[in-house]
Parts: sequence; structure tokens; C-alpha cells
Amino acid sequence: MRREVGNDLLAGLRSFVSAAYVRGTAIVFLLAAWYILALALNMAALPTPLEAFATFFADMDDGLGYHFAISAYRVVTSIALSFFLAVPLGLVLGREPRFDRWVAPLIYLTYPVPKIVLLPVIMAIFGLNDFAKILLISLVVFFQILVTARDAAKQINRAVVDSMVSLGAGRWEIYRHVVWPASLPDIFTALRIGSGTAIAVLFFSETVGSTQGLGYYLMDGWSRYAYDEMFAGIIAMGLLGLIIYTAIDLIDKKVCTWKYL
Amino acid sequence: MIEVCNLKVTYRQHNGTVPAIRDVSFRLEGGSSCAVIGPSGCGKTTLLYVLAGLRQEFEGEVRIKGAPVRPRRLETAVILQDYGLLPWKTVWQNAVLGLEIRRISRDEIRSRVSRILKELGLWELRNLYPPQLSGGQRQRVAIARSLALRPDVLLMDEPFSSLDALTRESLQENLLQIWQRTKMTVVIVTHSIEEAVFLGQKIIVMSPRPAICLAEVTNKGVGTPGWRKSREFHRLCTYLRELLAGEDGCLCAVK
Repeated sequence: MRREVGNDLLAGLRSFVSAAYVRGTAIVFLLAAWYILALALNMAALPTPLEAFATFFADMDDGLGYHFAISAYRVVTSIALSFFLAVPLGLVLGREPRFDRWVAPLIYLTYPVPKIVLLPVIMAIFGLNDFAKILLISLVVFFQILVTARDAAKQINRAVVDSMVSLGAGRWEIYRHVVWPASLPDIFTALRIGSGTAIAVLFFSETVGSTQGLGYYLMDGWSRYAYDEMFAGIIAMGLLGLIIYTAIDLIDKKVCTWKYL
Repeated sequence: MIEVCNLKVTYRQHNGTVPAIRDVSFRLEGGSSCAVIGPSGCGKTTLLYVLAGLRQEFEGEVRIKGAPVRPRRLETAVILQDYGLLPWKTVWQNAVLGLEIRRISRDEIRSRVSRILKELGLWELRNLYPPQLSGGQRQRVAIARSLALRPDVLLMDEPFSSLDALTRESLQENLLQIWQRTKMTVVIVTHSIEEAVFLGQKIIVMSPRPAICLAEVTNKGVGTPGWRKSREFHRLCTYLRELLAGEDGCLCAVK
């Protein structure tokens, strides 16, 4: 038994090391490509990674960190808000055709409208505050999660539900034991895709009449020809995306253990 | 115990209705076992769904212990063909599911389910997920989950059809022992002639769709030692095989 545990640990360590090795290689490759491109173009608008990272670390204490925190707050709040609103609604629509009949046309008509075009409208109504930005991002992510959750809930095999009913399960228990866990993997996929979109929308919303956030920091650097700052902003945005993406991945692996056997 | 009288089931489809069961009647004593056999797609599963209360649109009368069949009868346990277990729950979580839904106390659940899992040789596997088990182990978990409910009626839809021959026979023997001990009324839907003869004190032979009852065979040998190897067993199998093979002729005669 002890020997097995030891083997498990060793195997775990080995797979961690090899994953880190692969990831490390990917990072080195990307940085090298960037470095070569910067040298080849030799333009002020494309600093080398060395300069960009130097500014990134230097500015982290001085402003960039603050903008990073503001942006992280906005995007994480938006993702959480859309998750908590879209998942229950999506699952119910997927399971209750009576509601879906009335709501489906609404979703069908509003889903393809690029929500980003509502940016001026929302800013005009709610002003330039955090709320308007969070609303805009949530609007985009909400629909992505809603449609995925609904379709996942709709696809659940009738026989699984039947076998739950035969165990004596009522509506709520079917949601709890079948609909929710069965749809979770798809919901996580939607979250991963949604997190990317969320950061893109965040960037837009922060470039309009804004004095805070990474979008502002980046565009401010651009307007002052401070290209190293602009790239520090890009690095920060990338880092924000990476952190959110990794967090979603970790929660997914933790919650949907059964998917990764 | 179970009474089915002039059961008729039709399915509604886009283009009108399709009859699944035309006329089926039978009676089962409490504590007896019954095998329903017939060609694929003959409405055997539909019959099981009706008995389980999962399908409520039917004509005729179906009574369990004198009461009209209804959904969520708590003393009825059902094992459906392939989808019994939830892949996102461990063996233990699957086994306790029915009891949790019935709001049984946690201590009671723990003692009941531990005992059953140990009896069925699943205790060591309790933290694994269904995809990590073999087909036979998975079916045993489904049986454990049903037994935990302490049912008086156990309905099974081709429970062993996806298993290899040896596993299938050993599970049939498990089931036989459980049935002899608990004295539940067992209805097993199958397309295997040997399984029907091995397990069913009463064998109901159904025709292709729309199903009628071709024959009701009484099978006294069930549970006697060496039954599977006896001459009578094979004679009965042959008889059923001829009955099923000649069903087209029978149908014409009925028409």
C-alpha cells in the first residue's frame, strides 16, 4: 500500500515536471519569436521582450498594479455575475420546454447581436462608472453561458432522468443530481471561452472615457508613444487572462473529477 | 401482487400513432419471479416502463398490490438497461442515492449500504467512478442501489445483456440468491432464452410489435440445484426457441 502511494506521488511529480517542461518550452519559444521579430523590425512600436518586461515589473508598484486590480475586479465580477444568472436560467430553459418555447425566440434574436455595439448606449444611460462596464461584459458572457447551459441540459439522456424518477426523485432532485452535474463540463467550456471574450470587451470598455484599468493604461501608453508601457499593459492583460483561465481549469478539474479519469 | 389486464400502449409520433403493445394480460404472485421475453423492439421495455410507473399513458388496468400503478412508488426498484448509474457519482454516492432521496437518516444509510456493498463484493470499489468499473461490477452497483431501497418489486430491463457469458451467468446466480433470500417479486425483461428459463418462474413470451402475449410458460425448475445443467432446462429452452422462431405463424393465426 505504502509503495503504491509512493509510486502515485512519483508519477504525479513526474507528470507535473513534464507538464512544466512543456509549458516552459512554449514560453521560451514565444519570447524568442517576439525577440527576433522585434530585432528584425527594429521599430519603436515593437520593443523587445526584455524592455517590455522591465517596464512591466518596474511599473507594477507604480500604477500598473492598481490598474491590474481594477480590471481584474471588473472582469471577475462580470464572469461571476453572468455565471450565477445564466446557469440556473439556462438549465431551467433546457429542461422545461414550456418556458423555452417563449424564451427561445428572444434568445435567438438577441444572441447574434454583437453586444459590444451597445457600449455607447450603456455608457450614455449608466455613465462611465464600473457598473456600466460590468454590465456590458456580463451581457456578452451571460449569453454565451446561457445558450451552452440550455443546450447541455436539453441533451441529457431521457433514460438517465427516467432512472432517477424510478428512484423516487422529484424535479428538484433531478436538477441537483443529474441536470447540474451533467451540464457542468459544458458550462466550464463556456466559461473558458467566455473569459477570453470578457477580457476583450473589458479592453474596449476601458478605452472609452476611462481613467482606470488596463485598457486605459495601454491606450495611455500608446498616446504618449510610451511603447514599453503599452507592451507592459499587453503583458498584464495576457497575465490576467492566463490567471482566470488557469483558475477555471483548476476548478473544473476539482469539480468534474469524473470527467478526467 | 402484480396484475396486468388488457394492457394496450400506443406511441404518438409525428405521423399518427404507433401501437407498441396491443393486448397483454398476466398475473404474478407476490414473491415470484417472471421473465418477459420477445424479439427486440417488441415492447418489452415499454411494458417495464408501465410497471415502473414511468409511462402513464396506457389503456387497460395495471395494479401492484391491489393499487393502480403510479409513478414514484417507493417500494418498486427499477434497473434500466444502460443508464442506471450516474457517471459523476462514485460507487458509494450512486448506491446511497435512492435512500438520500427518501430522506433516510444518515446512520441508517451508512449501515444499510455498507452491508450491501460488502455482500456484493463492491466495498473496496466504493470510491471509484462507474467508468472505472467493469460491466459486471457496474451492474452489481445498480443491483446494490436497488436492494438498498428494500423493495418488494424489482424490475430489470435486460440487465445483463451487455456482459460476457461467464459474468452474465455469475450475476444471474447472484440475482437468484438475492431473490430467494428477499422474496421480492422480480420481473426481468430479456431477449436471452437461457436467462428467462434460468430466472423466470413464469415466462411471458411476447410477439413482435404490436405485442401480444404469445404464451405464458410456468417454469417450476427455477432455483433448484443444477437447474442450468438439467435436461428439463434445455427442453424448455428449445420449446421457447421454437415458439419465438415460429412467431410469424402464430401472429398470422391470431390475425
